Amino acid sequence: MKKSQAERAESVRGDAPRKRRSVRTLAAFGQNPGCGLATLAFTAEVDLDSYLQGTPMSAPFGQSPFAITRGLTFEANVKANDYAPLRALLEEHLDFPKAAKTKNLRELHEKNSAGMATRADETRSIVEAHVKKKASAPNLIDGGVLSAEILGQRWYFEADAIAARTSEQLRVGEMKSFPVVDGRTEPDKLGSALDQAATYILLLEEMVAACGGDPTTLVSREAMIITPRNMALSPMLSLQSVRSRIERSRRLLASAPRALDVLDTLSATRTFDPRTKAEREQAATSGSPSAQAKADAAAWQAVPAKRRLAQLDILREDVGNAYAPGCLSSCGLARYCRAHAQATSSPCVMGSAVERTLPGVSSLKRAVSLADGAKAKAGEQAVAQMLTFANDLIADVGGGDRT
Amino acid sequence: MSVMTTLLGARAHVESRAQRRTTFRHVHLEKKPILLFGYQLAGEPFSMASVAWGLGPKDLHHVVCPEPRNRTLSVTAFHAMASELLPVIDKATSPKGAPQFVVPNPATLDLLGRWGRRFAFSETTGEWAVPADVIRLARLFFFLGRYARMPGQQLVVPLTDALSFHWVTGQSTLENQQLAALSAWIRPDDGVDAHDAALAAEHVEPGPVTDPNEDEKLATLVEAYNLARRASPSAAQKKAMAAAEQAIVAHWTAHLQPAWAVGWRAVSLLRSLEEAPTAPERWTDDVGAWNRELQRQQEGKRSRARATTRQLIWERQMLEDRQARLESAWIYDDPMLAAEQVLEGRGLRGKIIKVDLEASEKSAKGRTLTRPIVVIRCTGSLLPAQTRLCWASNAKVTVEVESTTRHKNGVDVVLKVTGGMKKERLPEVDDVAFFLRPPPAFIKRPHLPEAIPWSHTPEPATVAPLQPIDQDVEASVP
Repeated sequence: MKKSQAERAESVRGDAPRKRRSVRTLAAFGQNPGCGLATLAFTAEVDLDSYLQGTPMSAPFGQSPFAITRGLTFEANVKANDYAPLRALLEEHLDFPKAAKTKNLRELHEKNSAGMATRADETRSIVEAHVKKKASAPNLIDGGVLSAEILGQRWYFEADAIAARTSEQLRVGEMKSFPVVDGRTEPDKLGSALDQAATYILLLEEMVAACGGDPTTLVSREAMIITPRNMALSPMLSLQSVRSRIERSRRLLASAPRALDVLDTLSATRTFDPRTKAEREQAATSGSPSAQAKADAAAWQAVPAKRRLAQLDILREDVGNAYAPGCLSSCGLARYCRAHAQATSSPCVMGSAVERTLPGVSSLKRAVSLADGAKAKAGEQAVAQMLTFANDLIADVGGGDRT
Repeated sequence: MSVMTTLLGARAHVESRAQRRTTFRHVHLEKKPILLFGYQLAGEPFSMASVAWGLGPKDLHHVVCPEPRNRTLSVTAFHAMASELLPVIDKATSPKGAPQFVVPNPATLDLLGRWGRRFAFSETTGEWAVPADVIRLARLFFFLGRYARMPGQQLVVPLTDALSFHWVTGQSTLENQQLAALSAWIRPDDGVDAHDAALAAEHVEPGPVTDPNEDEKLATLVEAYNLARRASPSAAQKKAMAAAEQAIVAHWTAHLQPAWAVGWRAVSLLRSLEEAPTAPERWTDDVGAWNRELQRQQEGKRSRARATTRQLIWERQMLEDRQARLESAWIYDDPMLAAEQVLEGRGLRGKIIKVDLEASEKSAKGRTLTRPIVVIRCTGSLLPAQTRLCWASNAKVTVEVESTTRHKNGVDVVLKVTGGMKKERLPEVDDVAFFLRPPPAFIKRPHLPEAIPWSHTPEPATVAPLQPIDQDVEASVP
């Protein structure tokens, strides 16, 4: 990213809530790359989930405290007694030595960007030691940090576990607290865990290559997924090949720079923050980082809903959006976009299947008038013919509006 | 999405009024089905936080587990449910009857299956002992969870599926999965626009998981309960514990009440539709399956963890067969669904304009065969010659498309009658008729080779039966 573009992205965010880039925001961007608003938020690191908080359009999602507690408890279980349960699994499934050496990078450094950079360096030197087949290299890294240059900035990704037998392949592990029963689990959750692991494997391969090693032989393309077995929280390990997911992840990372193009379609002074300079200065606080974050959030909530929504209208005019019902479970702006799509009776409110059945038809209203016999314009004829046929048949069998 | 549902959806959206997709109700509803709502803790898919059931809006039974992560409390809650629910199930069971469960959505049905899995293989003795009633109910739930895959089964009816099969709303399939919003869309309160009614109903929680913001409140209550529970025993501690439990019960009751009302409203919406002719036949199949399962359980047979390759092939074929039969029954029962077939190019509808009973043709051997000709005038359908169809009013009458002529009044399709011409009544001139794809033929069990071929994963010599999975989540906290 050119310097000017980085600054530009910053100014687009203004003092709107921020969400730093992570493997999750990247995945969210990958889900709907056609959406201008989501792409813009991704480049400017705007937190869309908080953007409409406190307005009638805010989306009711997030993580339940019960799920968070379970996740933390499970991790603590796996790591108890210097990772004894995890080491036992590695021993059983991957033939690790009994005296596997562990290294916890999480505890050693602060959880900020400087700490992440140091951890990334340390991760790299451990990986390098493995590449050089040094017997002293730790066999298990907790909180290893991998990084990539995306949009001109260094991004850091925290891997749950990186493991390797001495002088053997490096492996990436993801810890998840959803249970596996009878060898089965919830496919959605497993899928996103595997996607996450795939991204880490990709970055690890790049790191190994940078250290002069051969990633094809030194990095395993099987993800280790560590989950509870059955009802209690005792861990089990499953290995699953993520070859195709790695390729998808590679394409996604490669497509990220294109997100910047959205800035070109934006008028120069546009920003997500509807407040004037004076208002923002008034809201500015100082103090400890956490106190500041709290004050900022409160100040943001105090911005009237109307102004925030109006600001989104302006941005949407510039860059466009692409609402689909799936957005309701993943994007904080979904209800805003849905209301807009409903107001214009856009076929997208009904989902992509309906949209595909109505090619060339601008709105649901138009579809109904075509069915009722309105004259079809060029490009509408084929659909119009089907719609009138459908309408006649429905009338013929006395169906439809008989609630 | 078919053109028909697309049009109905567009009209629903524009007119703010749900549109009927079918002429009939294709789900059999017992006089007194058991409506059941189940809630789990987020992240704990086998837990039971709250469960409610009953045979009518006023027959509400509600069991709450104050701390579902504690095994003892869980078993107590399951036991409370089992001792009340089993008599209801037993009362509904007879050689000609079975209990029918109605649940808000497929996710609740899955939860029932998981609850079943949790205790179905438990023992009444040993470290993880549970009362016999808990095991009995769990086995029934486990069976229902598995039986749910059977196309057209009606032992458990997920309401969102049932409603969105019969009505098309102006919202997406995803939004239709929220029972409250869906039924508000179909029947909004008087004077309320359907879009607004659905939006207003989105906060109702039919389960099985709840809004994370609401979970924050519950977590505080559970924490208070645990604090009281772990304090040293005294009269004051007992009182504090009871009060904390009461607060948790109140939390769930507040969530349940609007959902419970929505559930019964959805049942009466369904009931307002006339039942399709073949829906009761499918219920008879379900009753048979239920009674066979009870028999099997009494004999103490256990389920395997995995089916063998052979079983999988048979099962797959049986499911496909059931699915094909079900889809065929739908279209032969229901004019609206038959019309959808015509639109998709899988049938004909029109007026009979000519019947020639004397028409004949020469067979390959030179014999003269009577092959009556029926000509039907349709609006727009075109089907390739030799397409085989059946008369919807009597599927024994089979025809073949002979030729199609387009003219300014529509399309005339010449049909050659190939079966049922002697014994059955044939369509007559001026009849308005549907001709549809023939119902699926009876499928025999496939002949499988003695040994599993190389293309399939070799089978293990023995497949282990399912094992108990019930343990204590709370005790796993280090």
